[in-house]
Amino acid sequence: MIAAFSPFLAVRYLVTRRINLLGIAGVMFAVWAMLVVDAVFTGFVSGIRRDVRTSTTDLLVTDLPHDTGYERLREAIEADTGLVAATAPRLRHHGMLQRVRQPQRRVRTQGSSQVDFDHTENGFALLVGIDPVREEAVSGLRSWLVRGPEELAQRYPGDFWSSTVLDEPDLERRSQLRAKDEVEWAARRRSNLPAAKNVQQHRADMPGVLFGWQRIRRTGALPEAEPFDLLVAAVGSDNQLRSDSDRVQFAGCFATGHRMFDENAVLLPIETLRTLLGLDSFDPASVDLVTDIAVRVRRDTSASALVAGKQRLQRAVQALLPPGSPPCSVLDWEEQNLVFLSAVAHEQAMMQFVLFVVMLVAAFVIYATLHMMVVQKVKDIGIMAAIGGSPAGIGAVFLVGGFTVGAVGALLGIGAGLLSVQYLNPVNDWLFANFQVELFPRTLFDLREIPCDLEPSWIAKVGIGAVLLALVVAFVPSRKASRMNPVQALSHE
Amino acid sequence: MYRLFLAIRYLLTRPINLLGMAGITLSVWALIVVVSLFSGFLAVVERHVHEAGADIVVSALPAWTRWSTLAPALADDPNVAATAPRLLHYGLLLRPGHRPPPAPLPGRGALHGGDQPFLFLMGIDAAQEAQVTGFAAWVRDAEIPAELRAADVAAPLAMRDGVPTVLIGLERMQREGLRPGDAVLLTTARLVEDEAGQKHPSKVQVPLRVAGAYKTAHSGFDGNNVFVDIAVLRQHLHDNRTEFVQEVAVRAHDATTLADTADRLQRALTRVTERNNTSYGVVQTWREKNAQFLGSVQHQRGLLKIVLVVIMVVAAFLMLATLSMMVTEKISDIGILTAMGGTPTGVTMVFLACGLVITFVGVLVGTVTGIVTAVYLEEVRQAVRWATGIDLFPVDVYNLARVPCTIDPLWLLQVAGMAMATGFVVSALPVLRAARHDPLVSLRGI
Amino acid sequence: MNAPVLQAAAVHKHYRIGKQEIPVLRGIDLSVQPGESVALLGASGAGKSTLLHVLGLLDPPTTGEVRYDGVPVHGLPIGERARLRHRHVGFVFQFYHLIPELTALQNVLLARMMAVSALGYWGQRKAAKAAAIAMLEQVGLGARLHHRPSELSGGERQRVAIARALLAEPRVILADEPTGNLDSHTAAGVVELMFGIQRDRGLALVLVTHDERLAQRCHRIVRLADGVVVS
Repeated sequence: MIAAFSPFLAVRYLVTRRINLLGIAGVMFAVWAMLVVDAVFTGFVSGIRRDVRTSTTDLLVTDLPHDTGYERLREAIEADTGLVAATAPRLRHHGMLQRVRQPQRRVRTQGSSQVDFDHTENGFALLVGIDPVREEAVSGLRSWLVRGPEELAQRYPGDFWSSTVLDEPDLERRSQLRAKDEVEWAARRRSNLPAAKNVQQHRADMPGVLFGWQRIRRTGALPEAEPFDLLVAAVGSDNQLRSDSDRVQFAGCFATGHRMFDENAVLLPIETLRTLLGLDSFDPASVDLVTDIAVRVRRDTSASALVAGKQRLQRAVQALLPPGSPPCSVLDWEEQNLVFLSAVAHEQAMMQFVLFVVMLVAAFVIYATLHMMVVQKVKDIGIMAAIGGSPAGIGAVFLVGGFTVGAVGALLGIGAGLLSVQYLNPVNDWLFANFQVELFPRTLFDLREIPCDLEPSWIAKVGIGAVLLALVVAFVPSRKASRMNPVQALSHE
Repeated sequence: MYRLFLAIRYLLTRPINLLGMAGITLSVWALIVVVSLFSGFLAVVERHVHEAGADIVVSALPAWTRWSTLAPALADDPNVAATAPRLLHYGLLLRPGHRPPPAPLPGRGALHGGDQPFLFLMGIDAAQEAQVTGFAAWVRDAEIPAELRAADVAAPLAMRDGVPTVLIGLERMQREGLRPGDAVLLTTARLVEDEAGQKHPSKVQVPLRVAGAYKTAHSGFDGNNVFVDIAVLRQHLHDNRTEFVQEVAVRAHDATTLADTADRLQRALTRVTERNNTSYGVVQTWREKNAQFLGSVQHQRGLLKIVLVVIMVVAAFLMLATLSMMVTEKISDIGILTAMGGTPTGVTMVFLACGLVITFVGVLVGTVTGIVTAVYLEEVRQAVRWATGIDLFPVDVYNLARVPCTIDPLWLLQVAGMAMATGFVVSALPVLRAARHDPLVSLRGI
Repeated sequence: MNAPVLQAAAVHKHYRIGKQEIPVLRGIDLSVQPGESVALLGASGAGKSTLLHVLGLLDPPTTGEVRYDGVPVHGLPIGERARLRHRHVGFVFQFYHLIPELTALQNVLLARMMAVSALGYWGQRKAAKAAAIAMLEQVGLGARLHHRPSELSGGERQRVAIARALLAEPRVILADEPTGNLDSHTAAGVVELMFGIQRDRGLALVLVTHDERLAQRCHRIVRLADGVVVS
């Protein structure tokens, strides 16, 4: 129970003492800073997470032993109809790509070598063999292909055409990502490759490869069906090293937004890659080789059902693997990107630590103002005691005061934060246009707009945190007030 | 004199002023510690980059460059201490009879890509390389177990059983279970011209023996690079052209004037490689070569600085609050002091002195504790992790042994100056109010 | 016979200053019957104010007992003591002790807020306000309701303090030199008011003073010297 005089006096004191406005201003400023800075940072991080999410399938069955075939596992996985909506085979390997038509070698004036060694410089590629028809059912392949040219066109001049390989009506051609006959014919002529005399007689036969847009950043804009040589080396099931090469054509570029994926990955028809690895699809003894199986789960799957489903799938797949195989993994999208996401999360934690210090100093402001209030109101405390105020009630005056300062500051800060976030980009643009000042350097984010993502849960955390912190710091002066000897307090000058 | 005396008395009798001091201290501390951490991180990254890449690198050399003409042209420069030729290539190192797992998923493997199967091949002359980089120390690193060490660390790339050898990063050696003497097969490709003048990639396979492990401070470098003798690459990839060179690593006498040296070397290079009025080849200091990457770390530090200044603003609020309250309380003293013979404006300076003492002590304590914390940051990190389980700076993500930290005196000065300026402004505000106060009012005791 | 409304039995009070024990009250026995007015007379430092504080539960006695209606009160829990201080006694001080931030009306109302919860008060706020206004009118301040203490004269402030002491309808008024800070004319008005109310309501009054003439108006005079009752 809070005695009626406590809130009454608390409010009167706050209203009549302007110094408390500083406490409110301090909390407001701190809350505002925490919201805006975190909104930008969260916006950035959740942008990354969103991109990582769209680049990654719901579940990925991976860590499979060598020479695992797709069909048997597919049946077992798709049998789990309560969970699984679709599956697609993936074959991960590494290879090298070399453009057939060498561009003129020019003097490069810009720093080229990077410390993060992304392997694109020399045509290294993480080859991901996919079945385009099945792939569309499990991942955003189609939207990746739309986004690729968009990302490039935003940054560089040049003709970044969008790929239409997925719209090819002929299933055989689509699964090979082949170009249209006339396009491939023109590309062959351009590169001095053997081609039919006239375009009508030409049948496209080069499998297509899809590049991540970050690779295009380095190769420069590529025309449709530009031929490449693809070289692959592997140790086969006979433990013999073999290598093979094939001529492929550039079928388009994609962007998932996942930097590491877009830099390294090259998508190509899984059959092409299997053939390069020495597996003939016409050979009945051959394996329909996969290293991973991408799984899309039903949209109505709850988080707990997903956890249970992962274990179920893992057991089902493991049962089909040769006895003694190391355990395979079924990874959700976060687990597939564990290292990358945790690096991002650590940076965010660091920023939040700094913001916490801001809040701490703001709490000091509340403490200072309340402490002074107690010191200056010693006589009032005696009066309250004399007319029957209980120690708890007297303490509550100052506790309520602190609470009010915290709450009003937090509310104002949240209001200001919401407004700032709303108008962050216009303000940043205006500042840059008029004063060449950038609050948030865009180059840092490599983005058009400053991302902003104010999560309601963060607002709640900051607001409640500010009020709690205010209560905690108010507790010390309020205890001091409640323990004061009333007789001494009355005679205080 | 009485001003400072009174100022200090006022401060000592009012512990709440310590809070204003604490705010300044905290903000100065945070500005120093966090920025030092990032500067340290930047310095570590720079050092790793620098060590792995020599002071100046001459790259993108045209095919007609001859080492015997290029080397003297470069060595002519007064600031060039040593040069070493390099050939660069790429490939896979596979162990016959062992099937490696597929390349890791992007985002699940190491961020620097050091666990990918691809490798950069650096063809070097071990003796000359040791003159320009820390190569000699890399093969002798104390962390390399004896059984993984090259047989002869003085000549680590010496042939073994008549087979050329390769130096591999320690982590990769351990991950793949390789031992010195193991046979590996280097698989790569080179472009070969056919009869029609078309260039085609052609497979190249070179049997090698593992020489041993090397270790630099940067596992990203170790994971991605292997060293072979330059003659091996010349033989298998460049038709035994003994003069062929693609990159030259340069060590300078004076590392502070690298940019000027690079300019001079660029002119010298032009004289050697110029053909048809076109110049070829690029000279870059290690900093230029990695400008983009280093820039991103610098940007992060800049962003953090903005956020940290917010702390100082809140600390200013705090000081303003405590000083205003003191002025409110002590404003009656102005009358007394005036009566005792002080001038009213002189008396108000007492309050300014209070604010400046608070600021000064706050800055001093903050700077000292900031420096101490920064120096013992690793111990602090371990203590925090032990007490709360929170890892403030994941050293293992960045492959560092301890939390890096570099204290920049200029930044210390900036922080102190900024804090003093802030302290002055927030002290001046209540003092202005006190100055406007009529001393007689307080004497009348209203 | 009824128990005395206020009773002190063998009350000792010592203060400790440094290592020295200073006895202020040395065995005070005092009974105050309902409706009785008692004047405590004595020189400065005789322990008059201390006795008043002990009687009003502001200060615990070192030994001895204070009884309200025959019930010992100093052993009660702290919250209960605060409630009793509110219900049973009303203080009037020499220096008025009003809260400067509040108007006359708010200062009086504060007394009503002491013992009820915030929610409980919300339900009776209109009645409380009416009672406070009535009380201020009774002390002759009907026209000064919304003035701050700084805008009131000394006599007016003391009237506000009296109104505040009376609002909770206590049985005993403890007045500590209520006219000590007032000029004689104003003091006379305040004294008349105080005794008038005491008579009308049948309250007990304990009046600390060193003004003999004022003391003569009380039913009984108790003289204190060096912490003991001398007559």
